[in-house]
Amino acid sequence: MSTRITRRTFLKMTATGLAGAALAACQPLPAPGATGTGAPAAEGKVVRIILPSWATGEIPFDTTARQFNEANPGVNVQIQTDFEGWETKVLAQISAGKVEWSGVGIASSASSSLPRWILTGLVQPLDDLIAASKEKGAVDMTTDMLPTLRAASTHDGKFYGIPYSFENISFNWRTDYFDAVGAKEAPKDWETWLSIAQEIKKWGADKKIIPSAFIEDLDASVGSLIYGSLDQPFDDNMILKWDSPEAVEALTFYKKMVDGELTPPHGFDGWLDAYYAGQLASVQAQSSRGVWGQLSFGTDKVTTSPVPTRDGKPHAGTPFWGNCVAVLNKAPNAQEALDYFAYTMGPQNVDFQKTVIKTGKTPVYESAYKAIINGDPQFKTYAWMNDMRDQVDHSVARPFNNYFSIQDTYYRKYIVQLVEPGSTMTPEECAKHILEDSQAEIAKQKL
Amino acid sequence: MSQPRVERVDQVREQGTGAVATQFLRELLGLRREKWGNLWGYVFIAPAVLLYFVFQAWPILRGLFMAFSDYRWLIPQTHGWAGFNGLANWVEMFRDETFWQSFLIAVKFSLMFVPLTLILSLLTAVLISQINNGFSAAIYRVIAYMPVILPISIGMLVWVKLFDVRFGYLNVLLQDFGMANPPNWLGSPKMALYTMVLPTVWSKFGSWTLLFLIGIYNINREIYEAARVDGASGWRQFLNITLPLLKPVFTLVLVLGSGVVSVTEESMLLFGGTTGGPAESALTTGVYLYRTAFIHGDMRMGYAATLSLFLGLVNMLITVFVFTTLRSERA
Repeated sequence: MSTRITRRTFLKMTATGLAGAALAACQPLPAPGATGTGAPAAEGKVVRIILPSWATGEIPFDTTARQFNEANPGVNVQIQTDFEGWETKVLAQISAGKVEWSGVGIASSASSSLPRWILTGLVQPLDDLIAASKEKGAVDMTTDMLPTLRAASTHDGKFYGIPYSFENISFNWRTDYFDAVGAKEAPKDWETWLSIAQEIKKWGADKKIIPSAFIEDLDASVGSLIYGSLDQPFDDNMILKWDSPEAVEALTFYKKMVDGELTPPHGFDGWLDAYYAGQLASVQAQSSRGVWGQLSFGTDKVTTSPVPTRDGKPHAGTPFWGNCVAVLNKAPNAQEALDYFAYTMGPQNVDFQKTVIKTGKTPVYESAYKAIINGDPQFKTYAWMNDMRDQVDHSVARPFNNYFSIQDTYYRKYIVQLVEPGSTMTPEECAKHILEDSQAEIAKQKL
Repeated sequence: MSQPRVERVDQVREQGTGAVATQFLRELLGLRREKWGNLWGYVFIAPAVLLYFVFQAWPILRGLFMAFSDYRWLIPQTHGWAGFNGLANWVEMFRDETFWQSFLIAVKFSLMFVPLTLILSLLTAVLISQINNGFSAAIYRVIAYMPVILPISIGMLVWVKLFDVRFGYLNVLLQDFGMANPPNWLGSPKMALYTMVLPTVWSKFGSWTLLFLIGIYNINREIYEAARVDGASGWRQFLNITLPLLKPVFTLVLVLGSGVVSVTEESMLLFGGTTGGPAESALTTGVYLYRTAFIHGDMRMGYAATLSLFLGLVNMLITVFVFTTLRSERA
């Protein structure tokens, strides 16, 4: 018998192979990025939630998904890490009316990402889902939440994003270095900040200690200074009041700090390396950076305080944002997704709140301050979070649009020109350029 | 002798409608085969063609349309035909100072990047080709190619650390040599663009080196031996044998690598985001259009597509120039 394969046989074999492959491809596969939460087999209601890897790395969403699945037979929550282009894919699925995922995170409220998600129709309002939820913490989620954070997640009277923590711009400082120059407390106003910084510069000259630093972003540097100078930092067009004397004063103060070599070059170059090397005495940055410092040098060496303001008064507080999760528009099993969020992040889950606090991010529920930060002696070192809560409680949220990034771009362009060695630019000119360029770019955004 | 056609048709008819339909298809396929060749070939290439249309042709066509529309990611009303705005994006582009500034920066960068990479990769390829020991040559080839396969984010992170103003190896070394105030490589508007060239050359020259090496290995060794017998020095051999015979590789390398380089990823990794370096001193067109499409305001993807298309057209012209200049030597 001939062992040669005829063309006909070859074609038959190929066709059979292709048909087999096609059948195999039709079989449902776990979606990309599935982390395998140990959930029961994909039976019942599957609830897929997309989260960035940094969030799953720092918060045990996997563990709570497993616990939730055990407590709710027939529901299978799967935590999946996000992937390149997920937003586009989900929006396409929403248009097609068949969405694969139910929940998503992490969006910053009072910032750019949550407004973007709402404006593009990526996420849905949660009010009805919260009201219908039978989970213990669901209703408390909104009533126990700090009002400013609840407001920051609300658009047109509807609540969209559930924050599991918040961050705000704060003053993170080395208590040992400040103590060495006789400063027992963080400075409350710019004048005191400047004089302490000059003392630290003299004291730490041999060890090359830098007294202060800012983070490059607008909100963590001059943006915070403007917040600390005005009761309402935004004008009618929802742009920072760059043409106000207070904004110019903020730029002048910033320039004074840089010109006096009280900060790294430009106020921020290489600040993180200097911080970890123990060569930075203070940094105006989000509060979690203080915890980074505590982890590196000890809780007795670093602490976090509200940012110093122009005259020591609180004014508009500081820029802040909640780290939010949300339910996708047209999501399958939307109620179960909300239930999972309530189960995991609701105020009743004390262990979850403790984990959040340990990461350096500030809790969003009043009860967490009472029961954990002020009630549990093991959490005494996080007492500074009370100050952050108080500050955010009266802080002005960023306007609900995507224009802050435009101001950030032009701020970064001109702040370097202002503080570059030998620069002849004045703070007034700098403010004028930032304002004009921002206005021109924002004008392009309007149809 | 074959059966008359009329009889064959009658026989098929007698077998019923199904047989007629089958025969019809056979006839049809037979006719097509005469004109188009074996139709199974089309079946086999169909998946590849389909994938090409879905992942290549369609995005290009869609991008072309977007370049003539006011497509804004955050405003669904601007998506599709409703967003068509004719030449408005092009008019805006010609008046957009930031765009022309970024274009000039990209041209300036390319004028440094292309010759430097070309010289470095050619030099490396020639040196590696001189190694007679196959194993040693392989090791050098791997070393030269390593930056290409290293994830760009890791590579650039290493460069950021090297260039750090306070703790970077480079500045620590300069301070050890007595320089009190070493440069702020990535932080100074005067230095940033030039500093960006080095990491980019490092990350790209490996693939060009490999192309040159292939070209050099393909040159007949007897030509070199004959030149040596005639007393030609190494330099003379390089100038009169290696360089002329590498012209086809030059064409390939220049077509692949020349043009206005947008260095988007490198810039974003070195300067942390879409700032375009200190005071936008290294804001290339790639970063500018990325910022327009994905960061700013309503995310004006239509306008960004216009900028992208313009950049593509410029690069196409440069490619045509390279081809025209080196056409006679094309491989």
